[in-house]
Amino acid sequence: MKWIRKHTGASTVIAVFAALLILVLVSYQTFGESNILGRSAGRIVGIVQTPLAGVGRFIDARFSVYLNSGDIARENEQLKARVDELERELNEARLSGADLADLEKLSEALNYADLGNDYNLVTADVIGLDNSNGFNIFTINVGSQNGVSNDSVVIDSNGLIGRVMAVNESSAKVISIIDETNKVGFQVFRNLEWLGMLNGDGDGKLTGYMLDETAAVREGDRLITSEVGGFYPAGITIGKVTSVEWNHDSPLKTVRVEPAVYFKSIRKVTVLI
Amino acid sequence: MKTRYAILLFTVAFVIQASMLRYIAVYDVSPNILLCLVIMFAFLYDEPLGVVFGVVFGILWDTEFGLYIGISAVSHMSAALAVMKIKQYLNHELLLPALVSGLAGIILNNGVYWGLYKLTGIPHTFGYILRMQPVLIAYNLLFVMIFHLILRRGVIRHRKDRDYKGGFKEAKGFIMK
Repeated sequence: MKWIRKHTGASTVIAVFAALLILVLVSYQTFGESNILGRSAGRIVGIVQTPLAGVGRFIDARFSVYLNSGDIARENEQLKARVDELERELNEARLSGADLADLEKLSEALNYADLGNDYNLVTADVIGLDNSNGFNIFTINVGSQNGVSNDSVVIDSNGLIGRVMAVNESSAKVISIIDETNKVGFQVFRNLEWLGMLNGDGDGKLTGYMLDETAAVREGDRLITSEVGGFYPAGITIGKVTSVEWNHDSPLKTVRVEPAVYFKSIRKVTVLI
Repeated sequence: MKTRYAILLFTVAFVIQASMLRYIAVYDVSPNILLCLVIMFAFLYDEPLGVVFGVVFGILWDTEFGLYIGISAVSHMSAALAVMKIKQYLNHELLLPALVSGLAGIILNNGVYWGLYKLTGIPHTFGYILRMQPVLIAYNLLFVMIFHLILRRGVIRHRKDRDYKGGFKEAKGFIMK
């Protein structure tokens, strides 16, 4: 006690430090879920952020053409390549009507339903995104009053983004699949019987393994979610296989996957509720 | 600086950081202006404003963008305390000491932040974390420089007065409350 009275400054610092570490531990135990204080803070921040996010989008839309001409040229090249690829895929699809019928049968066998039939879809704007740390965690302008709850699945036009990790009345915090330690079940679009599990590789991409080591998955294969793992509904695009390797330590075929979504520039998302 | 202005400044920085800074990202990295403000407040002011605002806004930041709540607060606090210690040996008016303190604060902040997150078992590799650091540090230092140029004018009066003979300690009497 004497020491504390003599060193009030140091004692305060130690006490605050200890309190913060306890807060981190509690948050770790509840996986970042907000308490009533956090939800209130999130609600206030959400109210302020929404109009400013609109201003940001306006500025971005007006000036990004001038500021990012190099990026646009690069994106143009990528889009041209993508158009070529899609044309090839379209031709292949036309030529393999029989294969398509088989796929449809498989889809039915897997209870493969249109998301719109099983879920209500809520569109949301991204109102907060922090690019100053390595995480892809962002805030959207829909919350529990729109029917969003913890673990609601979030997608965009390109594919699977992640899930809601904390929610308040008017906004929600979303964590991407690449920041997750939770596994995502997948199936290979070319053959829906080939199943596997994926998770973030810690390097901005995804890595995983095939459940069946005889599955002839190859580079370029498109992966979609499966109901294996039970977290995400089946049929949402995850990404494309960039490499396939044998893991010599276990009898598993390892795949590396480039996510279909570019997480750093997400503007609009859809929440499945 | 009056506390209410400091609160306003941090609030504006918080909202801008969350909603608009991603539009000026370089290689997908945006500056952390909240951290830059924490460091500059710790560097320029004798009161522990940097520590207090670092903790409060760190918790708020984690509520919005963190995987776990409290980690940014701990890292901000560590950075602010380190800068407060370092500044005792440096001239507050000059830019170079501000940048040196800023660099130390940024590195310590990032080290504590990622160190604590690694302890929680996040999947991110050290390679991924280190790859973004050069751009992040350079971008943050740019904002440390900007904040230093803006805020130092409000801290020490008479710094351009040729007849003023005192050192910084004597000038303390002129620190604006």
